[in-house]
Amino acid sequence: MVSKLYKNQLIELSHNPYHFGKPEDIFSSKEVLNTLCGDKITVYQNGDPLKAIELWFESVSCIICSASASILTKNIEGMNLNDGIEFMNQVEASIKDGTIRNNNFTKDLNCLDEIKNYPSRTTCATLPWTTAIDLLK
Amino acid sequence: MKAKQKKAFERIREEFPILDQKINGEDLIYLDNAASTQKPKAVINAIKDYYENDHSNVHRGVHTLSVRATEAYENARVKVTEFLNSPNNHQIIFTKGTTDSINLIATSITSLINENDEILITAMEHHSNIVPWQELCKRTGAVLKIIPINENGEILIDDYKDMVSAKTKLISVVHLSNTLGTINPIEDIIKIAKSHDVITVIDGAQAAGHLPIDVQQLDCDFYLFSGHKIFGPTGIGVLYGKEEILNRIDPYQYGGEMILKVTFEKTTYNSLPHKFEAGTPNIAGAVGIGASIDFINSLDRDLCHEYEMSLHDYALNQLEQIDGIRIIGKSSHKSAIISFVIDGMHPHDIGTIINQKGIAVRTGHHCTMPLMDFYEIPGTVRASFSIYNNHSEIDKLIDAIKLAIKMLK
Repeated sequence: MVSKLYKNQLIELSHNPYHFGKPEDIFSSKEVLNTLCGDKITVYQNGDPLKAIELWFESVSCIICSASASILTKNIEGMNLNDGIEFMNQVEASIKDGTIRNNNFTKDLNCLDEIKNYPSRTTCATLPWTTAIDLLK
Repeated sequence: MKAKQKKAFERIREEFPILDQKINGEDLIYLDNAASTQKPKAVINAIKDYYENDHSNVHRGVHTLSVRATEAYENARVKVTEFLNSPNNHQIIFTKGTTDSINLIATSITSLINENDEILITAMEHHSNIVPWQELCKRTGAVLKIIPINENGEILIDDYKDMVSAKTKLISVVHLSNTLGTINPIEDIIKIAKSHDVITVIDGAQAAGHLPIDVQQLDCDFYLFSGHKIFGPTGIGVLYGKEEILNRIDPYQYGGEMILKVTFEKTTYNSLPHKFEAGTPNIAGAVGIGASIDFINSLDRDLCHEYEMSLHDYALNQLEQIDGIRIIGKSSHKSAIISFVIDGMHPHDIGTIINQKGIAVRTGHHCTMPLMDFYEIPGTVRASFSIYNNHSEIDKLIDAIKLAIKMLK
C-alpha cells in the first residue's frame, strides 16, 4: 500500500527537514540533479570535515528525497570522516537492496524501508546520500 | 456527443488488449498517451503475421520471402506517403523515431551551415529538438536562438518575425507541444521562414496521431514523427523531406543499402530514400507503422479530435476546481494534454499515489527542462488523453488526485 511509503513520519520530515538551508561556514558543497525528474539537491559541509561532519542541504525535490536528506543530516552529524563515509555507503546500499530494517541503523531510517517496493523512486531516496558521499570522499 | 458515438469509442477501446488489466488491483487507466500510445490488435497482429509468414531481409533478395518482406516494407512507405500527402514515396525515410530524424537532419546538414549562421528553435521544445542543434552549432560556429513564449504557452510570433534575418539558416519547431498541449501556428511560422529562405523542420511527434498532416500544403522542408505515438511500434519513425534538400545534404550513416557502387577507392551513394537508410532497416517496425496508419484511416479523425477534446475539457473543468492547482499551458489552441502542478506537492509524489489506483500519468520535466525553468517549476503531472479513454476514467483521476492531496498535506 502506498500509505506505507508515505508514512506520517516521512511527510513530517519533508515538511520540517533537519539542517535545511545554507550553513554559516560552508567548507564545501555539491549540487546534483536527479536525471529522472530534474529535481535538484545541494549538500553543504559546515566547517572542517576533518574535525566533524555537519551536513546541511537545500533542495527542490519530492517528499522522499527531502525526508531522506533530513535523515542523513541528522544521523551523520558529529561523525568523523571515515566513519561517516562508511555509514553513508551502508545506508545507500541498504536502500537499494531493501535491507534497511536488517541493519542496526537508528529507528528513523526505517521509514525509508518501503522504498524497496517502488523501484522507480529509489533514486529519490539515495540522491542525498550519494551526493554527500561525493562531497566528502 | 451522442450516445451512439460514445458507444463507437467503447468499441474502439476493445481493440486495445493491454487496457483490459488490473494495476494494483484496480482497472488500468492509461493517461500517458503523450509518452506513448497503446497498440490495437491490428498493429500487434500485423507484426506477428509478418514474423510468422514473411520475414527475411529486404531488397536484392531473389527468393520469395525476401520479395514479400521488401513488398511489406515498401508498402508501408506508400502508406506513410499518403498519410502525409508527400508528393512521392522516396521522400519518406524510415528512421528509429523523431529523435533519430532530428539527429539525421542536424548531422547531415552540417556542410550547409556556416559560422555565425543562426538556428531558431522555440522555448517549448523537447530536448530532442534542442540538443542536436546545440551540437550542430558547436561543430559549425552557428548560433542557436530561442523564440520566446508567453505565460499561456504560446509562441510570440512578433518576436519570431523580428528574429528572422539573412543570418537565419534553419528553424525547427514543435507542431504540438508534448508538455503544454499547445498546437503551434506552423502554417504562419513556415510562411515567414520561407519568405527569408529559411529551412523549416517540423517536429510532429505529438501532432501526427491527432491532426491531419499535409506536407505539401504546409510547404515545410522536413516533417518528422514516431510510430509509437500513433498506435504503432517503438523503434520506427519517419522523416519526410523535400527532394531538393534531401539530395543536397550528406548521408547520415554509411554502410550497406545506402550505396550504389563500392570500390576501395571510391563509393557512390544510392538514390533516395536509400541514401539515408544504411543497414538492415526495422522491417517489422515499418509493417507496424503501416498497420497503425490503416487503423487511423479507419477512424473518423474529426470525431476522434472532438471526443479527445471533450475528455480534455471535462478533466480541465474538474481540475480547475481543486484548491492550489496551477494549469501549465493555457493556449486557446490546444490538444488533449493537461499539465499541472499543485501547491506544495511534488509531481512524483502525486504520480506514485495515483498509480496505486491503477492510473498512469507522466510526472517530471517531460524532456523539456528549459520550459520548466520558464515556469519556475521542477516538473508537472501530465494527463494526456486518447480515443480509448472515457469520462468515467477522468472521474477516477480526479478522485485519486484528491486522495493524494489528502495524504500529502
